[in-house]
Amino acid sequence: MDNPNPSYSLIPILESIRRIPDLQPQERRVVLRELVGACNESDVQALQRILGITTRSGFDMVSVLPTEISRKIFLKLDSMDLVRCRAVCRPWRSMIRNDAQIWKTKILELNPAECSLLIDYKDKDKDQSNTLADGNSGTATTEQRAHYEAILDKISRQHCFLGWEATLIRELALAQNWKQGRLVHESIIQLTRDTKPALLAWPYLVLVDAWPHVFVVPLDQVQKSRLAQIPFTDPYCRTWSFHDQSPVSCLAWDFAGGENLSLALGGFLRTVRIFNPLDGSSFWLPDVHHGFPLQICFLQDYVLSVTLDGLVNYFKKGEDYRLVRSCSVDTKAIQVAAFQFGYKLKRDVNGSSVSWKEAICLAHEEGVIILDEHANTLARIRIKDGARLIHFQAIADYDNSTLNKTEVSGGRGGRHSRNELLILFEEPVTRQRRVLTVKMEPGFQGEISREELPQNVVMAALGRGGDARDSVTMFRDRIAIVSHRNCSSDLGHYCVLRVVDIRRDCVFSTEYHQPEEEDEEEEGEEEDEVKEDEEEIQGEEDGGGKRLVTTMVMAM
Amino acid sequence: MPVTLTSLDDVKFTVDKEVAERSILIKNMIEDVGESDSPIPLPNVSSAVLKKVIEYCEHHRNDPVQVQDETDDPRKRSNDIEEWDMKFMTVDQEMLFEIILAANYLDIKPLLDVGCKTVANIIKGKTPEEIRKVFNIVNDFTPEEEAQIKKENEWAEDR
Repeated sequence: MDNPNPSYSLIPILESIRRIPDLQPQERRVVLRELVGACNESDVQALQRILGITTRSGFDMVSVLPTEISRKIFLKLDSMDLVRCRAVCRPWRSMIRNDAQIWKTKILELNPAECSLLIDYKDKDKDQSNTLADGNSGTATTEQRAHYEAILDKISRQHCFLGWEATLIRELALAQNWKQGRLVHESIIQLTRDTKPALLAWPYLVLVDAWPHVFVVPLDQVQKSRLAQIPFTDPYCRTWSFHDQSPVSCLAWDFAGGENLSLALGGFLRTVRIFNPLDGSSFWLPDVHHGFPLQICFLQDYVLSVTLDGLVNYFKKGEDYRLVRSCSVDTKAIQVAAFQFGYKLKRDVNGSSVSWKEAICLAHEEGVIILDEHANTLARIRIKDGARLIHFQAIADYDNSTLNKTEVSGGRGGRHSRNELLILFEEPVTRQRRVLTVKMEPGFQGEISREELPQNVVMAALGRGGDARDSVTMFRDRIAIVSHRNCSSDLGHYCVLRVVDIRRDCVFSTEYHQPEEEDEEEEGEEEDEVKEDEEEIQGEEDGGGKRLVTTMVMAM
Repeated sequence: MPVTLTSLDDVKFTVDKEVAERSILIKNMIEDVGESDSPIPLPNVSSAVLKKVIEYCEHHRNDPVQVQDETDDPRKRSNDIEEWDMKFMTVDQEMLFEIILAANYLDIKPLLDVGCKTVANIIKGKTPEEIRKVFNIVNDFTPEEEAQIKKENEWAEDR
């Protein structure tokens, strides 16, 4: 020990050091600590140079820790942090994504009253005796949480279940998108008097002006880019001009078309053009030598046009779209809707059996006429004397499970089937707008009963018909009314969109106004309905000299 | 009654039984061994870490023992750490890592919990890039994976 030669004390140390590889990691750490502890300032600097790096204090401990511990750490993060952690590196990503327990726990932490997954499930669950905790899940009792967990397990067994991670992300994205204002897409498109903004069919927005030009814009481009003027100069918008067509009197979209997108354009010179907006191909329907087409609609196998003088023409789809039959309804049709029942119906007509599977509802000012695809009249519904029909909605739902899928004779309907006409009309003297519900036989053969809906909120919101240039559209149990007012010069043009829910007797409203000078639009939004399915709400503007602003709001 | 604990590098620590029994592992060992003066060996914990662990147990010697797992009770789910613990946990990442491992091995749930909370608090509110920076993690995603991940997390952006 008392050797004056320094190398004698070095060698044992070096020998010990050479045995370091034999040590366990923990033991090695101890050695390193000793070593670093024994280092002075210059030693540390030398060490840094030898290592070739500057000292950094971090290392990926999360990947190195045992799974239960890293799970504990991840569970202490809130959901948004967890989502971001997936993007750090591959080990973290697979640790988090492969651990269903983490995601499930996070879902359990959500407030059940705000979790759309549970709300959807609750709506479908007929057993209303199960109550979920309101307010914070933090105050839910153990019992409620267990119940909540049982529901989640049930949900996870459904065939449409995407997995816990995707499910949580859907909930978070919903909340986040709503907060960031991305959920309600607003497209403000300046339209001139002659433009028909009539079609909003996912994924395209189709606009037709009077010249006619047809503009087809993919909807997700409308949201991102700022389309302001027609003609659209945006590269995503495709435009067609038809120089041989008269101005457009009506148009319709073929929803039954599937792969083949078809748009029918009716012209004032009696012509109907069928047009494919994707490839631009088009052809004419045969001329019927009657008044110009006022309404067009598509059936599964037919295209229907209804002329101004009340002739209903059936053109069979196929090679040449021949006119196969016509019938006269002797009235001016203000609205036409066609739909399929999804099953075949049968009835007796003069001793022989007739079957049908589609219906066409044709509304005029005094009621609705219902035809089948063979031009037989199924029913005629009249509203009360003096009243004026504004709009209607036909609903033909059926419960597939309880019906014989191929044939049902007249009187039998499915257990949850709903066959109704909802008619929006104006009272004779007061011009108060009201809704009439007419329950129909399956297949819309005849009327069972009718009822004028008494809801107060709805009545007030519907208001009176009159000098306001209102546009109305109906979508199942909801009515959207766009009211335009030209206000004083400082308020400029004012527009209110009201969505009236008949079943729930409530109203959502949004106001827009554009002041006279060229300013930004201001909006006051009161809508708080977030979890709606796709819904089209559409306002048609009526012209009036000045440039009116039509807004289309789509809540997803 | 004092208990002697021996660390991996053969350093002996004498503590009160009450303090030592904050570790369920040690508690069980004492029960198994019975009345004995022989030191309890802890071959998985180095002296530097054991020193810190003992410091924690001494400070928290009078805390009520937790019966159920904290994660069952959502009210305890906050990531608040009391001030003393916060100061206690102000260590380099290496030490933090070792404290967590030691708390796990010794079965000291509150200490493990505080350790995990500390790590969670480091991660909280950071973008993936910031997380990588603080933990010196290499971004090992391919450019295609990066693009996909970016798209995947688009909704999470605050814009």
